[in-house]
Amino acid sequence: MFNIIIGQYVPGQSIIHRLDPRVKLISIFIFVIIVFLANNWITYGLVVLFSIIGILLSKVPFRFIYRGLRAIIIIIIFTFILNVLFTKQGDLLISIGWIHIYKGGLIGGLFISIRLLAIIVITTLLTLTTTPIDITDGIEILLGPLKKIKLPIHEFALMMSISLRFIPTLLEETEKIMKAQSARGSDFASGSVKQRIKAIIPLLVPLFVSAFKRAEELAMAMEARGYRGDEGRTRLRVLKWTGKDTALIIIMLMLTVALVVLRT
Amino acid sequence: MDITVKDLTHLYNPKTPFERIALKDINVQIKSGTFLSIIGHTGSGKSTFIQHINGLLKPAKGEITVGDVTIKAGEKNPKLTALRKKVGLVFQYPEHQLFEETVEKDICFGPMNFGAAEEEAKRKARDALDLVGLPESVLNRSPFDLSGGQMRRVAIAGVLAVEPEVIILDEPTAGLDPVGRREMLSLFMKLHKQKSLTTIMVTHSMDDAAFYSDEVMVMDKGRVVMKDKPEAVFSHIEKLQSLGLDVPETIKFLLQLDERCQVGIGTPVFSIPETAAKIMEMLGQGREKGARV
Repeated sequence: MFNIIIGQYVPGQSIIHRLDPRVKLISIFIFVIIVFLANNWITYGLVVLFSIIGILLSKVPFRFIYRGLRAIIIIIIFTFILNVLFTKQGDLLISIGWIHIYKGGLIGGLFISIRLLAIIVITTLLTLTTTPIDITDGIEILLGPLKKIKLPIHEFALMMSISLRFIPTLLEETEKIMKAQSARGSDFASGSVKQRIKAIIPLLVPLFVSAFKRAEELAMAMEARGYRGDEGRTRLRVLKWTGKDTALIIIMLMLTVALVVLRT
Repeated sequence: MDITVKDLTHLYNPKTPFERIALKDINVQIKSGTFLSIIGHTGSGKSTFIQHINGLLKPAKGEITVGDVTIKAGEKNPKLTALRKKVGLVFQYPEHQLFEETVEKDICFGPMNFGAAEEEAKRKARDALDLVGLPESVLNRSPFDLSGGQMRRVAIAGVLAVEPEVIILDEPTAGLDPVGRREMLSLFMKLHKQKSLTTIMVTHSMDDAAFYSDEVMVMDKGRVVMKDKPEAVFSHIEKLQSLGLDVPETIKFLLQLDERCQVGIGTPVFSIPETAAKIMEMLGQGREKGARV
Protein backbone atom coordinates (compact mmCIF):
# COMPACT_ATOMS: atom_id res chain seq x y z
CA MET A 1 0.00 0.00 0.00
CA PHE A 2 2.98 2.28 0.45
CA ASN A 3 4.07 1.74 -3.10
CA ILE A 4 2.53 4.95 -4.31
CA ILE A 5 3.50 6.40 -7.63
CA ILE A 6 3.89 9.99 -6.39
CA GLY A 7 7.18 10.68 -4.78
CA GLN A 8 8.99 7.86 -6.50
CA TYR A 9 11.87 10.27 -7.02
CA VAL A 10 15.25 8.53 -7.20
CA PRO A 11 17.96 10.91 -6.07
CA GLY A 12 20.80 11.38 -8.51
CA GLN A 13 23.13 13.86 -10.16
CA SER A 14 22.70 12.88 -13.81
CA ILE A 15 22.21 15.42 -16.57
CA ILE A 16 18.50 14.57 -16.65
CA HIS A 17 18.23 15.23 -12.93
CA ARG A 18 19.88 18.60 -13.35
CA LEU A 19 17.66 19.82 -16.17
CA ASP A 20 15.32 22.67 -15.37
CA PRO A 21 11.92 21.23 -14.43
CA ARG A 22 10.21 23.76 -16.72
CA VAL A 23 12.18 22.41 -19.67
CA LYS A 24 11.38 18.86 -18.71
CA LEU A 25 7.69 19.65 -18.50
CA ILE A 26 7.65 21.48 -21.84
CA SER A 27 9.66 18.71 -23.50
CA ILE A 28 7.34 16.03 -22.24
CA PHE A 29 4.38 18.02 -23.44
CA ILE A 30 5.96 18.26 -26.89
CA PHE A 31 6.98 14.62 -26.82
CA VAL A 32 3.52 13.35 -25.97
CA ILE A 33 2.14 15.26 -28.96
CA ILE A 34 4.80 14.41 -31.52
CA VAL A 35 4.74 10.71 -30.67
CA PHE A 36 1.48 10.69 -32.60
CA LEU A 37 3.29 11.92 -35.72
CA ALA A 38 5.25 8.69 -35.95
CA ASN A 39 3.75 6.22 -38.38
CA ASN A 40 6.54 4.09 -39.84
CA TRP A 41 9.58 2.12 -38.72
CA ILE A 42 12.03 5.04 -38.98
CA THR A 43 9.91 7.48 -37.02
CA TYR A 44 9.06 4.90 -34.34
CA GLY A 45 12.74 4.02 -34.25
CA LEU A 46 13.54 7.67 -33.49
CA VAL A 47 10.95 7.75 -30.70
CA VAL A 48 12.35 4.58 -29.16
CA LEU A 49 15.91 5.83 -29.53
CA PHE A 50 14.99 9.08 -27.80
CA SER A 51 13.40 7.18 -24.90
CA ILE A 52 16.35 4.83 -24.50
CA ILE A 53 18.85 7.68 -24.55
CA GLY A 54 16.75 9.41 -21.93
CA ILE A 55 16.82 6.35 -19.67
CA LEU A 56 20.54 5.86 -20.13
CA LEU A 57 21.37 9.49 -19.43
CA SER A 58 19.25 9.53 -16.28
CA LYS A 59 21.27 6.65 -14.80
CA VAL A 60 18.14 5.46 -13.04
CA PRO A 61 18.29 1.69 -12.54
CA PHE A 62 15.97 0.01 -15.04
CA ARG A 63 14.17 -1.69 -12.15
CA PHE A 64 12.48 1.59 -11.23
CA ILE A 65 11.27 2.24 -14.73
CA TYR A 66 9.92 -1.27 -14.86
CA ARG A 67 8.09 -0.65 -11.60
CA GLY A 68 6.43 2.39 -13.15
CA LEU A 69 5.43 0.29 -16.16
CA ARG A 70 4.17 -2.71 -14.27
CA ALA A 71 0.76 -1.25 -13.59
CA ILE A 72 0.24 -0.30 -17.21
CA ILE A 73 1.80 -3.24 -19.00
CA ILE A 74 -1.46 -5.20 -18.94
CA ILE A 75 -3.26 -2.38 -20.71
CA ILE A 76 -0.54 -2.34 -23.35
CA ILE A 77 -0.70 -6.07 -23.90
CA PHE A 78 -4.49 -5.87 -24.09
CA THR A 79 -4.35 -3.10 -26.68
CA PHE A 80 -1.81 -5.06 -28.66
CA ILE A 81 -3.95 -8.19 -28.71
CA LEU A 82 -7.08 -6.26 -29.69
CA ASN A 83 -5.24 -4.63 -32.55
CA VAL A 84 -3.75 -7.86 -33.77
CA LEU A 85 -7.07 -9.65 -33.69
CA PHE A 86 -9.34 -7.04 -35.17
CA THR A 87 -7.33 -5.14 -37.75
CA LYS A 88 -7.75 -6.61 -41.18
CA GLN A 89 -5.07 -5.01 -43.32
CA GLY A 90 -2.23 -6.35 -45.40
CA ASP A 91 -1.38 -10.00 -45.96
CA LEU A 92 -3.05 -12.73 -43.98
CA LEU A 93 -0.30 -14.34 -41.88
CA ILE A 94 -1.99 -16.90 -39.66
CA SER A 95 -5.49 -18.26 -39.68
CA ILE A 96 -6.56 -20.67 -36.96
CA GLY A 97 -10.30 -21.18 -36.63
CA TRP A 98 -11.87 -17.79 -36.11
CA ILE A 99 -8.53 -16.12 -35.41
CA HIS A 100 -7.10 -14.32 -38.40
CA ILE A 101 -3.89 -12.40 -37.98
CA TYR A 102 -2.99 -9.90 -40.65
CA LYS A 103 0.39 -8.26 -41.16
CA GLY A 104 -1.15 -4.81 -40.87
CA GLY A 105 -2.73 -5.71 -37.55
CA LEU A 106 0.51 -7.03 -36.17
CA ILE A 107 2.44 -3.93 -37.16
CA GLY A 108 -0.35 -1.64 -36.02
CA GLY A 109 -0.49 -3.33 -32.62
CA LEU A 110 3.24 -3.11 -32.28
CA PHE A 111 3.24 0.61 -33.15
CA ILE A 112 0.51 1.43 -30.67
CA SER A 113 2.31 -0.51 -27.96
CA ILE A 114 5.54 1.34 -28.68
CA ARG A 115 3.69 4.64 -28.61
CA LEU A 116 2.13 3.93 -25.23
CA LEU A 117 5.38 2.57 -23.82
CA ALA A 118 7.37 5.58 -24.98
CA ILE A 119 4.90 8.04 -23.46
CA ILE A 120 4.84 6.20 -20.16
CA VAL A 121 8.59 5.71 -19.98
CA ILE A 122 9.25 9.39 -20.62
CA THR A 123 6.68 10.63 -18.09
CA THR A 124 7.95 8.10 -15.55
CA LEU A 125 11.40 9.47 -16.20
CA LEU A 126 10.15 12.92 -15.21
CA THR A 127 8.85 11.77 -11.83
CA LEU A 128 11.90 9.60 -11.27
CA THR A 129 14.37 12.39 -11.85
CA THR A 130 12.53 15.45 -10.56
CA THR A 131 11.51 16.09 -6.98
CA PRO A 132 7.77 16.70 -6.59
CA ILE A 133 8.56 20.17 -5.28
CA ASP A 134 10.50 20.98 -8.46
CA ILE A 135 7.65 19.74 -10.60
CA THR A 136 5.21 21.95 -8.71
CA ASP A 137 7.53 24.94 -9.03
CA GLY A 138 7.84 24.28 -12.73
CA ILE A 139 4.08 24.03 -13.19
CA GLU A 140 3.51 27.21 -11.19
CA ILE A 141 5.89 29.21 -13.35
CA LEU A 142 4.65 27.74 -16.61
CA LEU A 143 1.06 28.50 -15.67
CA GLY A 144 2.08 31.92 -14.32
CA PRO A 145 0.56 33.86 -17.22
CA LEU A 146 -2.88 32.55 -16.22
CA LYS A 147 -2.66 34.70 -13.07
CA LYS A 148 -3.49 37.61 -15.37
CA ILE A 149 -6.98 36.23 -15.75
CA LYS A 150 -7.28 35.87 -11.96
CA LEU A 151 -6.72 32.14 -11.72
CA PRO A 152 -5.25 31.32 -8.29
CA ILE A 153 -2.21 29.55 -9.68
CA HIS A 154 -0.01 30.26 -6.69
CA GLU A 155 -2.59 28.87 -4.29
CA PHE A 156 -3.01 25.75 -6.40
CA ALA A 157 0.73 25.25 -6.50
CA LEU A 158 0.97 25.77 -2.76
CA MET A 159 -1.79 23.28 -2.12
CA MET A 160 -0.04 20.83 -4.36
CA SER A 161 3.33 21.20 -2.68
CA ILE A 162 1.79 20.95 0.78
CA SER A 163 -0.09 17.78 -0.18
CA LEU A 164 3.02 16.29 -1.70
CA ARG A 165 5.05 17.24 1.32
CA PHE A 166 2.60 15.57 3.66
CA ILE A 167 2.04 12.32 1.77
CA PRO A 168 5.01 10.60 3.42
CA THR A 169 4.05 12.10 6.78
CA LEU A 170 0.52 10.80 6.50
CA LEU A 171 1.71 7.39 5.35
CA GLU A 172 4.01 7.24 8.34
CA GLU A 173 1.18 8.28 10.59
CA THR A 174 -1.10 5.67 9.03
CA GLU A 175 1.46 3.01 9.62
CA LYS A 176 1.91 4.10 13.22
CA ILE A 177 -1.79 4.13 14.03
CA MET A 178 -2.28 0.86 12.20
CA LYS A 179 0.36 -0.68 14.40
CA ALA A 180 -1.11 0.83 17.53
CA GLN A 181 -4.54 -0.56 16.70
CA SER A 182 -3.10 -3.93 15.67
CA ALA A 183 -1.44 -4.08 19.07
CA ARG A 184 -4.92 -3.59 20.53
CA GLY A 185 -6.16 -6.55 18.52
CA SER A 186 -7.44 -4.85 15.36
CA ASP A 187 -7.26 -7.05 12.30
CA PHE A 188 -6.85 -5.18 9.02
CA ALA A 189 -5.95 -8.11 6.83
CA SER A 190 -8.65 -10.73 7.19
CA GLY A 191 -12.38 -11.08 7.68
CA SER A 192 -15.36 -10.27 5.48
CA VAL A 193 -15.65 -7.02 3.51
CA LYS A 194 -17.96 -5.60 6.17
CA GLN A 195 -15.51 -6.45 8.92
CA ARG A 196 -12.65 -4.92 7.00
CA ILE A 197 -14.52 -1.70 6.42
CA LYS A 198 -15.32 -1.58 10.10
CA ALA A 199 -11.65 -2.14 10.90
CA ILE A 200 -10.78 1.01 8.95
CA ILE A 201 -12.69 3.33 11.30
CA PRO A 202 -10.17 3.10 14.15
CA LEU A 203 -7.58 4.05 11.57
CA LEU A 204 -9.40 6.89 9.81
CA VAL A 205 -10.65 8.81 12.85
CA PRO A 206 -7.22 9.31 14.45
CA LEU A 207 -5.77 10.07 11.02
CA PHE A 208 -8.32 12.82 10.38
CA VAL A 209 -7.88 14.25 13.86
CA SER A 210 -4.15 14.49 13.43
CA ALA A 211 -4.39 15.79 9.86
CA PHE A 212 -6.65 18.65 10.96
CA LYS A 213 -4.40 19.43 13.90
CA ARG A 214 -1.40 19.41 11.62
CA ALA A 215 -3.09 21.68 9.10
CA GLU A 216 -3.94 24.18 11.81
CA GLU A 217 -0.42 24.12 13.17
CA LEU A 218 1.02 24.53 9.70
CA ALA A 219 -1.22 27.49 8.96
CA MET A 220 -0.18 29.09 12.22
CA ALA A 221 3.50 28.44 11.62
CA MET A 222 3.23 29.94 8.12
CA GLU A 223 1.49 33.04 9.40
CA ALA A 224 3.97 33.39 12.23
CA ARG A 225 6.70 33.48 9.62
CA GLY A 226 4.94 36.18 7.68
CA TYR A 227 3.31 34.27 4.85
CA ARG A 228 0.75 36.41 3.09
CA GLY A 229 0.25 34.79 -0.26
CA ASP A 230 1.77 35.36 -3.61
CA GLU A 231 2.11 39.15 -3.54
CA GLY A 232 5.77 40.20 -3.62
CA ARG A 233 7.02 36.77 -2.76
CA THR A 234 10.52 35.74 -3.85
CA ARG A 235 11.72 32.16 -4.26
CA LEU A 236 14.17 30.14 -2.24
CA ARG A 237 14.94 27.84 -5.14
CA VAL A 238 15.34 29.97 -8.21
CA LEU A 239 15.07 27.85 -11.31
CA LYS A 240 18.01 28.38 -13.63
CA TRP A 241 17.88 28.01 -17.37
CA THR A 242 21.25 26.77 -18.58
CA GLY A 243 22.89 25.62 -21.80
CA LYS A 244 21.67 22.03 -21.47
CA ASP A 245 18.10 23.25 -21.16
CA THR A 246 18.36 25.17 -24.40
CA ALA A 247 20.00 22.09 -25.89
CA LEU A 248 17.06 19.90 -24.90
CA ILE A 249 14.58 22.34 -26.42
CA ILE A 250 16.59 22.35 -29.64
CA ILE A 251 16.70 18.54 -29.61
CA MET A 252 12.94 18.46 -29.15
CA LEU A 253 12.47 20.81 -32.10
CA MET A 254 14.81 18.72 -34.21
CA LEU A 255 12.94 15.58 -33.25
CA THR A 256 9.69 17.24 -34.24
CA VAL A 257 11.08 18.28 -37.59
CA ALA A 258 12.56 14.83 -38.16
CA LEU A 259 9.25 13.16 -37.41
CA VAL A 260 7.36 15.50 -39.68
CA VAL A 261 9.82 14.98 -42.51
CA LEU A 262 10.26 11.22 -42.15
CA ARG A 263 6.66 10.25 -41.60
CA THR A 264 4.83 8.75 -44.53
CA MET B 1 6.40 -14.32 30.83
CA ASP B 2 9.90 -15.00 29.56
CA ILE B 3 11.03 -13.35 26.36
CA THR B 4 13.87 -14.83 24.35
CA VAL B 5 15.30 -13.16 21.28
CA LYS B 6 17.75 -15.11 19.15
CA ASP B 7 19.93 -13.65 16.35
CA LEU B 8 17.24 -11.16 15.47
CA THR B 9 18.02 -9.09 12.38
CA HIS B 10 15.63 -6.58 10.84
CA LEU B 11 15.96 -4.76 7.54
CA TYR B 12 14.14 -1.62 6.50
CA ASN B 13 13.08 -1.46 2.84
CA PRO B 14 14.62 -4.81 1.95
CA LYS B 15 15.68 -5.32 -1.66
CA THR B 16 15.59 -1.62 -2.59
CA PRO B 17 18.40 0.91 -2.82
CA PHE B 18 17.13 2.29 0.49
CA GLU B 19 17.80 -0.97 2.33
CA ARG B 20 19.11 -0.33 5.80
CA ILE B 21 19.93 -2.64 8.68
CA ALA B 22 17.73 -1.68 11.61
CA LEU B 23 18.65 -4.51 13.96
CA LYS B 24 21.66 -6.76 13.74
CA ASP B 25 22.01 -10.12 15.50
CA ILE B 26 20.19 -9.26 18.69
CA ASN B 27 20.40 -11.90 21.40
CA VAL B 28 18.49 -11.02 24.54
CA GLN B 29 16.80 -12.87 27.39
CA ILE B 30 14.21 -11.05 29.43
CA LYS B 31 13.08 -12.98 32.50
CA SER B 32 9.50 -12.87 33.65
CA GLY B 33 8.90 -10.06 36.10
CA THR B 34 11.82 -7.90 34.99
CA PHE B 35 11.55 -4.12 34.61
CA LEU B 36 13.84 -3.51 31.67
CA SER B 37 14.71 -0.08 30.34
CA ILE B 38 16.08 0.35 26.85
CA ILE B 39 18.24 3.38 26.21
CA GLY B 40 20.02 4.45 23.08
CA HIS B 41 20.52 7.28 20.67
CA THR B 42 17.70 8.20 18.26
CA GLY B 43 17.73 5.64 15.47
CA SER B 44 19.54 2.99 17.48
CA GLY B 45 16.74 0.48 16.87
CA LYS B 46 14.90 0.68 20.19
CA SER B 47 11.43 1.13 18.71
CA THR B 48 12.05 -1.47 16.02
CA PHE B 49 13.12 -3.94 18.66
CA ILE B 50 10.04 -3.56 20.83
CA GLN B 51 7.71 -3.88 17.84
CA HIS B 52 9.16 -7.31 17.16
CA ILE B 53 8.10 -8.47 20.61
CA ASN B 54 4.49 -7.71 19.66
CA GLY B 55 4.75 -9.33 16.25
CA LEU B 56 4.18 -6.03 14.45
CA LEU B 57 7.31 -6.50 12.38
CA LYS B 58 8.66 -9.63 10.78
CA PRO B 59 12.25 -10.59 11.44
CA ALA B 60 14.55 -10.91 8.43
CA LYS B 61 16.59 -13.43 10.40
CA GLY B 62 16.39 -15.09 13.80
CA GLU B 63 13.49 -15.74 16.13
CA ILE B 64 11.55 -14.26 19.03
CA THR B 65 9.86 -16.35 21.69
CA VAL B 66 7.35 -14.78 24.03
CA GLY B 67 5.88 -17.31 26.46
CA ASP B 68 4.78 -20.16 24.23
CA VAL B 69 4.55 -18.21 20.97
CA THR B 70 7.53 -18.22 18.63
CA ILE B 71 7.97 -15.98 15.61
CA LYS B 72 10.61 -17.26 13.24
CA ALA B 73 12.13 -15.58 10.20
CA GLY B 74 10.94 -17.05 6.92
CA GLU B 75 8.02 -18.91 8.48
CA LYS B 76 4.41 -17.92 8.34
CA ASN B 77 3.48 -16.10 11.51
CA PRO B 78 1.57 -18.10 14.09
CA LYS B 79 -1.77 -16.65 15.15
CA LEU B 80 -0.66 -13.32 16.52
CA THR B 81 -3.83 -12.63 18.46
CA ALA B 82 -2.64 -14.84 21.32
CA LEU B 83 0.66 -12.98 21.43
CA ARG B 84 -0.87 -9.52 21.26
CA LYS B 85 -3.31 -10.35 24.02
CA LYS B 86 -0.41 -11.08 26.32
CA VAL B 87 1.88 -8.28 25.20
CA GLY B 88 0.46 -4.78 25.62
CA LEU B 89 2.25 -2.14 23.62
CA VAL B 90 1.90 1.52 24.54
CA PHE B 91 3.24 3.56 21.66
CA GLN B 92 4.77 6.99 21.85
CA TYR B 93 1.98 9.56 22.18
CA PRO B 94 -0.65 6.81 22.64
CA GLU B 95 -3.39 9.47 22.75
CA HIS B 96 -3.11 9.62 18.93
CA GLN B 97 -4.80 6.23 18.66
CA LEU B 98 -8.08 7.30 20.32
CA PHE B 99 -11.03 7.19 17.96
CA GLU B 100 -14.30 6.28 19.68
CA GLU B 101 -17.16 8.55 20.70
CA THR B 102 -16.79 7.80 24.38
CA VAL B 103 -13.95 6.90 26.66
CA GLU B 104 -15.71 3.69 27.61
CA LYS B 105 -16.06 2.50 24.03
CA ASP B 106 -12.45 3.30 23.31
CA ILE B 107 -11.16 1.34 26.28
CA CYS B 108 -13.48 -1.57 25.38
CA PHE B 109 -12.03 -1.72 21.85
CA GLY B 110 -9.06 -3.86 22.89
CA PRO B 111 -10.84 -6.39 25.11
CA MET B 112 -13.62 -6.82 22.54
CA ASN B 113 -11.12 -7.41 19.75
CA PHE B 114 -9.69 -10.19 21.86
CA GLY B 115 -13.08 -11.76 22.27
CA ALA B 116 -14.47 -10.34 25.50
CA ALA B 117 -18.25 -9.98 25.72
CA GLU B 118 -19.62 -6.45 26.05
CA GLU B 119 -20.40 -6.68 29.76
CA GLU B 120 -17.02 -8.15 30.54
CA ALA B 121 -15.27 -5.50 28.42
CA LYS B 122 -17.13 -2.76 30.26
CA ARG B 123 -16.08 -4.17 33.60
CA LYS B 124 -12.48 -4.35 32.39
CA ALA B 125 -12.74 -0.78 31.15
CA ARG B 126 -13.81 0.43 34.59
CA ASP B 127 -10.97 -1.50 36.23
CA ALA B 128 -8.41 -0.12 33.80
CA LEU B 129 -9.70 3.40 34.26
CA ASP B 130 -9.29 2.98 37.98
CA LEU B 131 -5.72 1.70 37.50
CA VAL B 132 -4.71 4.79 35.57
CA GLY B 133 -6.29 6.99 38.21
CA LEU B 134 -9.20 8.53 36.32
CA PRO B 135 -12.70 8.89 37.83
CA GLU B 136 -15.57 6.85 36.42
CA SER B 137 -17.30 10.06 35.43
CA VAL B 138 -15.15 10.36 32.30
CA LEU B 139 -16.48 7.06 30.92
CA ASN B 140 -19.26 8.73 28.98
CA ARG B 141 -17.28 11.71 27.76
CA SER B 142 -15.65 12.01 24.38
CA PRO B 143 -11.92 11.26 24.62
CA PHE B 144 -11.29 14.36 22.51
CA ASP B 145 -12.74 16.61 25.22
CA LEU B 146 -10.15 15.55 27.77
CA SER B 147 -6.85 17.23 28.55
CA GLY B 148 -3.68 15.87 26.99
CA GLY B 149 -2.61 14.06 30.14
CA GLN B 150 -6.05 12.53 30.61
CA MET B 151 -6.15 11.42 26.98
CA ARG B 152 -2.88 9.62 27.46
CA ARG B 153 -4.24 7.89 30.55
CA VAL B 154 -7.32 6.78 28.63
CA ALA B 155 -5.14 5.40 25.85
CA ILE B 156 -3.01 3.54 28.37
CA ALA B 157 -6.16 2.21 30.03
CA GLY B 158 -7.15 0.90 26.59
CA VAL B 159 -4.01 -1.21 26.56
CA LEU B 160 -4.28 -2.26 30.21
CA ALA B 161 -7.90 -3.36 29.77
CA VAL B 162 -6.67 -6.29 27.70
CA GLU B 163 -4.87 -7.42 30.86
CA PRO B 164 -1.49 -8.15 29.30
CA GLU B 165 1.27 -9.98 31.11
CA VAL B 166 4.01 -8.07 29.36
CA ILE B 167 3.75 -4.34 28.92
CA ILE B 168 5.96 -2.41 26.56
CA LEU B 169 6.23 1.35 26.85
CA ASP B 170 7.72 3.53 24.13
CA GLU B 171 8.74 6.77 25.82
CA PRO B 172 5.61 6.94 27.95
CA THR B 173 6.51 10.34 29.40
CA ALA B 174 7.28 12.18 26.15
CA GLY B 175 5.61 15.59 26.16
CA LEU B 176 4.38 15.46 29.77
CA ASP B 177 5.15 18.07 32.42
CA PRO B 178 7.36 17.08 35.40
CA VAL B 179 4.41 16.21 37.66
CA GLY B 180 2.74 14.22 34.89
CA ARG B 181 5.98 12.35 34.26
CA ARG B 182 6.42 11.36 37.85
CA GLU B 183 2.79 10.26 38.14
CA MET B 184 2.98 8.27 34.92
CA LEU B 185 6.13 6.46 35.96
CA SER B 186 4.93 5.65 39.46
CA LEU B 187 1.73 4.36 37.86
CA PHE B 188 3.71 1.92 35.74
CA MET B 189 5.89 0.97 38.71
CA LYS B 190 2.78 0.26 40.77
CA LEU B 191 1.25 -1.83 37.98
CA HIS B 192 4.50 -3.68 37.48
CA LYS B 193 4.57 -4.75 41.10
CA GLN B 194 0.84 -5.24 41.66
CA LYS B 195 0.24 -7.40 38.61
CA SER B 196 3.75 -8.90 38.52
CA LEU B 197 4.14 -7.77 34.92
CA THR B 198 7.19 -7.91 32.75
CA THR B 199 7.78 -4.30 31.78
CA ILE B 200 9.94 -3.02 28.96
CA MET B 201 10.37 0.75 28.73
CA VAL B 202 12.11 2.72 26.02
CA THR B 203 13.30 6.01 27.45
CA HIS B 204 15.60 8.92 26.83
CA SER B 205 15.86 9.75 30.49
CA MET B 206 18.86 8.19 32.13
CA ASP B 207 17.40 9.08 35.52
CA ASP B 208 14.23 7.10 34.88
CA ALA B 209 16.15 4.18 33.42
CA ALA B 210 18.47 4.07 36.41
CA PHE B 211 15.88 4.64 39.08
CA TYR B 212 13.04 2.36 38.00
CA SER B 213 14.57 -0.62 36.26
CA ASP B 214 15.99 -3.96 37.30
CA GLU B 215 17.98 -4.06 34.12
CA VAL B 216 19.12 -1.52 31.54
CA MET B 217 19.78 -2.40 27.92
CA VAL B 218 21.90 -0.03 25.84
CA MET B 219 21.44 -0.05 22.07
CA ASP B 220 23.56 1.51 19.38
CA LYS B 221 23.25 1.24 15.58
CA GLY B 222 20.91 -1.75 15.79
CA ARG B 223 23.02 -3.72 18.21
CA VAL B 224 22.83 -4.38 21.93
CA VAL B 225 25.90 -2.83 23.50
CA MET B 226 25.22 -3.59 27.16
CA LYS B 227 22.51 -5.26 29.18
CA ASP B 228 23.02 -5.35 32.91
CA LYS B 229 21.89 -3.98 36.23
CA PRO B 230 21.67 -0.17 36.24
CA GLU B 231 24.58 0.05 38.70
CA ALA B 232 26.80 -1.88 36.30
CA VAL B 233 25.65 -0.07 33.13
CA PHE B 234 26.01 3.41 34.58
CA SER B 235 29.52 2.79 35.83
CA HIS B 236 30.69 2.73 32.20
CA ILE B 237 30.48 6.47 31.99
CA GLU B 238 32.91 7.02 29.13
CA LYS B 239 31.40 4.24 27.07
CA LEU B 240 27.93 5.75 27.46
CA GLN B 241 29.17 9.19 26.52
CA SER B 242 30.88 7.82 23.42
CA LEU B 243 27.45 6.49 22.37
CA GLY B 244 25.92 9.95 22.74
CA LEU B 245 24.23 8.99 26.00
CA ASP B 246 24.56 10.45 29.44
CA VAL B 247 24.63 9.30 33.04
CA PRO B 248 21.96 10.04 35.66
CA GLU B 249 22.09 13.38 37.45
CA THR B 250 22.94 11.71 40.77
CA ILE B 251 26.06 10.18 39.24
CA LYS B 252 27.02 13.51 37.69
CA PHE B 253 26.75 15.13 41.09
CA LEU B 254 28.81 12.46 42.80
CA LEU B 255 31.47 12.65 40.10
CA GLN B 256 31.88 16.38 40.67
CA LEU B 257 31.99 15.88 44.40
CA ASP B 258 34.63 13.26 43.92
CA GLU B 259 36.84 15.71 42.07
CA ARG B 260 37.26 17.41 45.43
CA CYS B 261 37.17 14.36 47.73
CA GLN B 262 39.27 12.02 45.61
CA VAL B 263 37.84 8.91 47.25
CA GLY B 264 35.99 7.31 44.30
CA ILE B 265 32.19 6.97 44.13
CA GLY B 266 31.99 3.16 44.42
CA THR B 267 28.64 1.58 43.50
CA PRO B 268 26.43 4.05 41.62
CA VAL B 269 23.24 5.12 43.40
CA PHE B 270 20.18 6.71 41.79
CA SER B 271 17.66 7.76 44.43
CA ILE B 272 17.83 10.95 46.46
CA PRO B 273 18.10 9.32 49.93
CA GLU B 274 20.81 6.96 48.74
CA THR B 275 22.67 9.84 47.17
CA ALA B 276 22.46 11.84 50.40
CA ALA B 277 23.92 8.91 52.33
CA LYS B 278 26.61 8.52 49.70
CA ILE B 279 27.51 12.20 49.95
CA MET B 280 27.93 11.98 53.70
CA GLU B 281 30.08 8.89 53.32
CA MET B 282 32.27 10.51 50.67
CA LEU B 283 32.63 13.70 52.65
CA GLY B 284 33.68 11.71 55.72
CA GLN B 285 36.25 9.71 53.79
CA GLY B 286 37.44 12.85 52.07
CA ARG B 287 38.04 14.65 55.35
CA GLU B 288 39.97 11.68 56.71
CA LYS B 289 42.19 11.86 53.66
CA GLY B 290 42.68 15.53 54.36
CA ALA B 291 40.81 16.94 51.36
CA ARG B 292 39.51 20.47 51.94
CA VAL B 293 35.76 19.89 51.80
